Amino acid sequence: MRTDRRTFVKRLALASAAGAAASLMPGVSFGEEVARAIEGLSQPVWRKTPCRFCGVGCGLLVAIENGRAVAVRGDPDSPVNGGLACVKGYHSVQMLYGRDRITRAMVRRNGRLVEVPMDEALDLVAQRMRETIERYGKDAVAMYGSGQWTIPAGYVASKFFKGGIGTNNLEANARLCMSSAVSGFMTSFGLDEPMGCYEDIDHADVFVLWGANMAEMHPVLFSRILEQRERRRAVTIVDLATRTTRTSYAADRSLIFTPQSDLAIANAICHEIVKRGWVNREFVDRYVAFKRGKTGIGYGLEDDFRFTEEAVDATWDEYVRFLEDYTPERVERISGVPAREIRWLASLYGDPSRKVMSLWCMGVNQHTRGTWMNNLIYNIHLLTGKIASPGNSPFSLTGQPSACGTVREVGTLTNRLPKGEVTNEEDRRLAAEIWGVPVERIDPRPTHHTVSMFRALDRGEIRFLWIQVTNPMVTMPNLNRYRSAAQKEGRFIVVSEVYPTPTTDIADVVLPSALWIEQEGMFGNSERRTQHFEQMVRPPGDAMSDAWQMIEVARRMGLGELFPWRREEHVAEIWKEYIRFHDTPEHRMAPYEELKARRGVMWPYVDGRETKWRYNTKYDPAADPARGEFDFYGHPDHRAWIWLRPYEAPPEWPDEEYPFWLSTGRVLEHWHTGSLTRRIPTLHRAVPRAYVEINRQDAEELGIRNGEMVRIISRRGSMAAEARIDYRAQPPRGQVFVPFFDESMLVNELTLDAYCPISGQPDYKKCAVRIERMGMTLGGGPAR
Amino acid sequence: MPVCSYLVIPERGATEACAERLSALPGCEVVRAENRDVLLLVTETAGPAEERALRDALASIPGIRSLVLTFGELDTETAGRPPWP
Repeated sequence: MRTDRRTFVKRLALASAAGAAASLMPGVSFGEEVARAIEGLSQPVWRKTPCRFCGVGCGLLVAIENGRAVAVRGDPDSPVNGGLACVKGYHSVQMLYGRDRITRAMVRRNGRLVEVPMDEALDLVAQRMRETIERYGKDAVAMYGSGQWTIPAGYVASKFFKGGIGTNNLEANARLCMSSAVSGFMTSFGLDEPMGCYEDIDHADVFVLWGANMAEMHPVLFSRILEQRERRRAVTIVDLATRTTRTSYAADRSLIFTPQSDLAIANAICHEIVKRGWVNREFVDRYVAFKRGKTGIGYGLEDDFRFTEEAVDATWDEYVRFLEDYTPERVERISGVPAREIRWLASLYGDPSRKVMSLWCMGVNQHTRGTWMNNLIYNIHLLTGKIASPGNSPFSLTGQPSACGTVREVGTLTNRLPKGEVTNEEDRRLAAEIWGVPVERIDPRPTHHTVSMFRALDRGEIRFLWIQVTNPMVTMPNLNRYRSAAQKEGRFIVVSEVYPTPTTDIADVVLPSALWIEQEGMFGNSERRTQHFEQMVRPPGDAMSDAWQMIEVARRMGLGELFPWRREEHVAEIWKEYIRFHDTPEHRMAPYEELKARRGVMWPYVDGRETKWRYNTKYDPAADPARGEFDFYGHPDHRAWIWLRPYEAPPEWPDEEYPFWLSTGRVLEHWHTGSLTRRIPTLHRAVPRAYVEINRQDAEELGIRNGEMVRIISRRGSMAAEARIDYRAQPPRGQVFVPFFDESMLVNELTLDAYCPISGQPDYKKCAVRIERMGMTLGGGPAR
Repeated sequence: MPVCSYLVIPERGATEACAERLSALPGCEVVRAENRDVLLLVTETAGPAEERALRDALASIPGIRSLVLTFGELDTETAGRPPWP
């Protein structure tokens, strides 16, 4: 007999009351009827899945009853979270059932989106793609996806666009969150993704958090760190940040620095390590090379901006001379962090008896010198030899559930292929062979990274854009320009989504997508762990997985031979094809059957064993023991590279007209733009709208009271928000913070579209604004 | 449509009367224990306002020694696109 959700909830309620009675009055009996009702609760089937939200990749168990997801718990067998979940994870299944779920395809007619049959919408998408290519060329069509794509969806996108159409106009929103991490890994080690894993947390003595509010953004991992401090008295947590957050309060020491000065602080730490003789000479001599790159590299603000990095050999002596500029006293003047604190921090890294883990995420990556900051953190670990061994770990956290698995490993970026770069002939040949296409079809020229892609849309070089699993009309920096671009005459925008968003608002076609466990898929988390999830419930209405939408359109365009799979088996078939790209000891991945059976598998997976610490010859089967304890095989010289990266100022700085720094980010309760978490009532009610955090003294000087509305104005736009003083985080004087989850308060209309020239990743953490009182409260009443 | 449950412990000798009074309230289902003087109460109301009104009504019923809230789900329907302020 079918049990609906109401009945299930009432059974739960009855069971709770009966359980309370039994605990107070052992032996109490309520008869057969109650016993049967409670017994019925054990009927749901619990199935494993990685969480849909952040890049930690917590294992969850979802209860399915009569075709509906009815409950969630942390998976006690998951090596990631050991049964814990955060507030988003615990409430996650509710996001499947929001009442405004998009269930039918829609096409814009006379300015309005009207429902049409799915086949008709897919026909139209294929027709418009074909017409655009015929009229404007293959590089006039583009796909913009996400680190929330499943691995199969990302793989289909890459094969469709790069192997089928032959354009490199394929990007993903991970460009906005992780590309500096990628270019940091590539420049320092020659290969992407961390050498360590979460197990490092169980071994490290010191945790240095570089601009990462882990207490809110990666709460389950942060709780794992806090647990270590409970267990081991020697554990020290340092929060190095631009504002005081919940992470700062939990840390042993909080160091607040001026935005952008993290570059100088990292170099000052290295200066101290060298000066105090804390360099691990044996490690450096044997495993490290020194490189100098270009400086004064700009900020990408111009449409025709181009940049190519060059690595020039440098020497140890040149590096030491370079560091002379970064005395703690000089860096104190740049950063505001006292010289004694910088020395103390250096001593933590320099102490050979203490294992150190550095962790970072958007503070380092969303930075006009994001690649440099990644390099500089690696420099510290390489100088001290504290890397690639249990507890000694520079660890780049990710923001999205499959930024690593899909975007970075499958390579859904303009310059990437499932293995390697489009510019590399050998990589193109491998892709052509596996895809069964002529190698000439794979274009050797990268086209546009994300910001550049939207600028090309603005200029009319791109005419057709298909957006899946992301909400760029909330997240693009300098948003006004790119929203106007998408709405220009002659642009055709397709959006695959699950709920209405500001991005579906500008769409010509909306395709209803399956969400998370409504399809089979895989995600890859921050520690190189690939996790499979099966389809547990049916998607509503005509909703279809993003991967299958693309396959349907590709078939309509005559590219069906690339996608010969039956729908019931396409995920397994895609996985089997995809892992041929990584069939080497550096990146071998688990077979499909093992992925299905296990709680995720970390790659490289060789001879049935996961690799926890890459480049370490004791653990990594790809590392050559003849080279010693370590083998940094990503570079041809088998060395890791220390880069001479200077401090350079940001492109925009507070001045008399715009006297405040503006930083943006997330909050614990909301995922990215809130399109999912704002459909979950508990989370929506917890933080129903965005706000602006203002320092108390700044607020007093401006006459602003807590809760009154203020206008925040940059050179690009303005928005109104409630002022929050001494709320969950406190910016220092001269800074304000606004979260970006609220589509009614678009802070990215204010942000600057400057980016790291090496990675193409924009800086969402620094631009200049001014604050004006509005003299009213949110409801429109006068501010007192 | 909030759903809640309560463990109800009546005053001595008032179990039957309590059960009848509770059962008479709209949206209330009562289960009597077979071997103790204790009741289980499951309530279902149309919305938060009705839920608050029912709680007030429960508090005024005579003969109840203890009323323990054991379950409360207020969010059985999810919101739509959040309203712009």
